[in-house]
Amino acid sequence: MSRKISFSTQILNGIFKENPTFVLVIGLCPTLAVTTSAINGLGMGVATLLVLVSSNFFISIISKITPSQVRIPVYVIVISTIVTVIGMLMQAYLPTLYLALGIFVPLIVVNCIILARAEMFAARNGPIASLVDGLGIGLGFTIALTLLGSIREILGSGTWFNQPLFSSNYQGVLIMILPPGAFLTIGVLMAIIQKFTKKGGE
Amino acid sequence: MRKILISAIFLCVIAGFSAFVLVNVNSMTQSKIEAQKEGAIEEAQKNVLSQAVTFNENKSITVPPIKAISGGVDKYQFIPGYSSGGALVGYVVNVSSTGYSSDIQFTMGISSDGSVTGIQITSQKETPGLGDKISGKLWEGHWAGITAQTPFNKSLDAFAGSTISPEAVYTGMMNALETFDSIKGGGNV
Repeated sequence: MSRKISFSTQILNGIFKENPTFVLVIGLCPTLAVTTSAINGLGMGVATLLVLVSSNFFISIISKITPSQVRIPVYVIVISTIVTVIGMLMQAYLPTLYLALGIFVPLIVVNCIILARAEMFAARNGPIASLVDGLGIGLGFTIALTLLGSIREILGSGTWFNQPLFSSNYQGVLIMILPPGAFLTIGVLMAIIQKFTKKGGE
Repeated sequence: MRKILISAIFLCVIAGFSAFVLVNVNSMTQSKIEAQKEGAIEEAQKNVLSQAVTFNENKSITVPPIKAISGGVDKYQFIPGYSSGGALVGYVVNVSSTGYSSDIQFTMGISSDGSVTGIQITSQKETPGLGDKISGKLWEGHWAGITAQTPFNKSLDAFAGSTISPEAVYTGMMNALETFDSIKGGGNV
């Protein structure tokens, strides 16, 4: 509460300085699993963003009255409730969106980004600031996943968002779609980002 | 002691509140979700047998498969589809077959002469980026017109790096087609 950071700084923070994938390196399981194509990455990112914003908001509200010994189970209950509710509401009222994002929604429960932000940020800050933090981190995650998915899809399938990019002779580098491709891509991307962001000497 | 008690009570309250929220949201959305699912099945039936406008489940022909396949259904239910004039245009049937990492379920349309009018994958958990390409309009659409005699063409029907999932769909289709042909030959249709 003591320091005031503007919302835009917070959002940029989530995208760059504290990017969950490339800088904090959390939530790698879903990241590696779903980024076989750009659309999958985008879908998982957006679904996580929705959950992150609401879970940060609610946890920030109840954090003051939560006994610290049981805070983790409480957060887990809150997060899984939110995920289930969002899943059900989506399925009932936004069926087309659910068709695209549905398979990712249950996966979000086990995404440690959500719990990490609850513990690192929402428990120590006000509801509005937590909501904005969720938005920033969620955007950072979405951008990272879409980027990863794009690279893997372009190299692995020769398409981007299911649109063919090359002639039909391009067979695709199979390994990019398989799990090793995820490790290769994320390693190279991290190295590039470190190269440009690292301050100071070796 | 007091502390532990407060923590326990708090946890119970939160859990109870969660259960309350979930129960309410569930009862609120359940009927809508059921309706969506039914609508999706109906839409799949219309997609695979586009000439039909109505389906009559009561007049469907239910027979066991001509031979057992891995992950296959116990009984095929061929549901007749009728054009707007009331003429029989073909049948839709739900087929299941074991793929690489899941049971692939799809709806298939068969014209009265025994050729495929279309298929639509309704459920599968094949490898993302490889086998799951079977859930694409392009690939689903390319099967239209095949009969029980059409052989599997690897370069046309499979994807690079993924043969098992497409082949599983093919196996399921052939099984349903052969079953259909057998009852048709038997004069039941």
